[in-house]
Amino acid sequence: MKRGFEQAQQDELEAHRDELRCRGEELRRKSEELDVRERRLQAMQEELHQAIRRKDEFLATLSHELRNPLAPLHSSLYLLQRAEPGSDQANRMMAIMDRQISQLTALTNDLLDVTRISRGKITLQCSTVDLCALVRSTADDNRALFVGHALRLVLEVPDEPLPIYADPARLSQVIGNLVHNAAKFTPADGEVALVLERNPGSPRARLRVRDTGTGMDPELLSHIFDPFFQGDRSLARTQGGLGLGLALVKALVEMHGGSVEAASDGPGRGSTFTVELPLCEVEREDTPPPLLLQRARRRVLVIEDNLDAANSLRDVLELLGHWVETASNGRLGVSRAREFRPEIVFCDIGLPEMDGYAVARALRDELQLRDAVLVAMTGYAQPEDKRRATEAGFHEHLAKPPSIERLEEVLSRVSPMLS
Amino acid sequence: MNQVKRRRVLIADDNEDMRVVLRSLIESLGAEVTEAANGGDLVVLLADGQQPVDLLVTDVRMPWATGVQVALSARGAGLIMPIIVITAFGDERLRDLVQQLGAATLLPKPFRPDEFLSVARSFLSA
Repeated sequence: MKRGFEQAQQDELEAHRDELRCRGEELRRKSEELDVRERRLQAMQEELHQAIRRKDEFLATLSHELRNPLAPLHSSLYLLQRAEPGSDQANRMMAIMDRQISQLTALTNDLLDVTRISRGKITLQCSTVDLCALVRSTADDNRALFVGHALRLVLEVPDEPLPIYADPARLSQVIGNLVHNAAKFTPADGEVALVLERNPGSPRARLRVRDTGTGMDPELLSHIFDPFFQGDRSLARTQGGLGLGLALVKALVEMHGGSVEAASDGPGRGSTFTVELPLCEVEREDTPPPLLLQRARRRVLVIEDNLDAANSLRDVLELLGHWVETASNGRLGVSRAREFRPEIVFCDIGLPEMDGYAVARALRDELQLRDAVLVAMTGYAQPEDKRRATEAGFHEHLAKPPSIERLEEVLSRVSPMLS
Repeated sequence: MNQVKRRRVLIADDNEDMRVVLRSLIESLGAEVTEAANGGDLVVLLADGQQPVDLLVTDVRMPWATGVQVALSARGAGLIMPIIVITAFGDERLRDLVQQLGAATLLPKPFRPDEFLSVARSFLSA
């Protein structure tokens, strides 16, 4: 009996031991799990810190790059206001303002492009283009850059055309960015070569942009296409810019089904960027080029609440020979349109109270204004904005601020609708 | 105006447009202008004892050496001309460095041209 009792106690003890072992095992497993989780959290925290640091660096760079062109703009405007109209000084100041505005516009466009690419919101406007002609014309557009930096530009382009199905404006941006990058990192008296050829092994075109510049070490090479990445951030060495040019090159080339690679033999030994793009062997049917600008005098109404934007657009349109009226909000715009009977209406979308879409719908409801061509203007020419504008009754869509070339292009497209 | 005539101002900026507007602003005060397009040229021009500088106007970020680096070594070499440092960096450390220079003003970009002229005028007529 007693032995039976002892046995039972021992069994119970053993059961307790087993349970303790199990619990111990479980605890060890949980503690290991916790360790893994903690390490993962630490890694995530480190990544977050790095992301925050990159964001802070980027904001500092952005602020620097925005202030930089503003300084000469402000001063040249001050000097222009005090210069004899038409004098050398006035012309010099206007040239400076023109250059600095272009720089600010390019910066803003790069920023917008990167955001849009990262959200998959860029759509290519493709047609069959001759890559040889595109490389030649982009090189020509950038010649001043080479003269300014005392650099030689060597161009090797085959005689026979290399047809590709691509967005010419975006490819020109790709080539331009690579050329700018090469010029920026090549000291005076250096050389930048653009070599275009048909890739012997595959139906692809190969463009190499080779420079005799500062070159790159392997660490730099591995990050060179990362957005917001800049080689050397030390004050004396850094070359300005947002560090977006090459990231845009990579994204745009890949959107065209191509690839881009960077190579360098090391610091001081130059760099080569190689872009490969698929050739198209069969000519595609394309829409005919837009009609040339018909220089008819049009009645144009500009509806825009930003007075400076309205007045400058009016000045440009008047310079192009049109008869222009302006209105500073949607309601005034609609009532002005009833009297003025414009043939073309440029309308801002972000108007207070009655927005651009409401203006378009109101104009569409007016019998006498039904034939007017409506052009929407917004800060972002996103596909979504374009769709909403079309639905509201707009015929065309312009991103602000429109360049004169873009205005002329839109006017040339809408002219046939009016005649 | 007369009292600032024949004063010599050295402008250092790697942006050519910026040098053109700074030159025009300084010349409107009747002073003579010499330009440096990078930190290296700035060192050479400052070291040229033949042509003493009455005022240095310098950008911070330039190839070869920053304007502040050069200004600090110029002070070390005993050059006492007033200095206007113009910069697009909004950095407190930079403000401290410029304070260390003595007889120096930091003008953040974009500065108002009349503000720049009034600082330059006061340095040149001192």
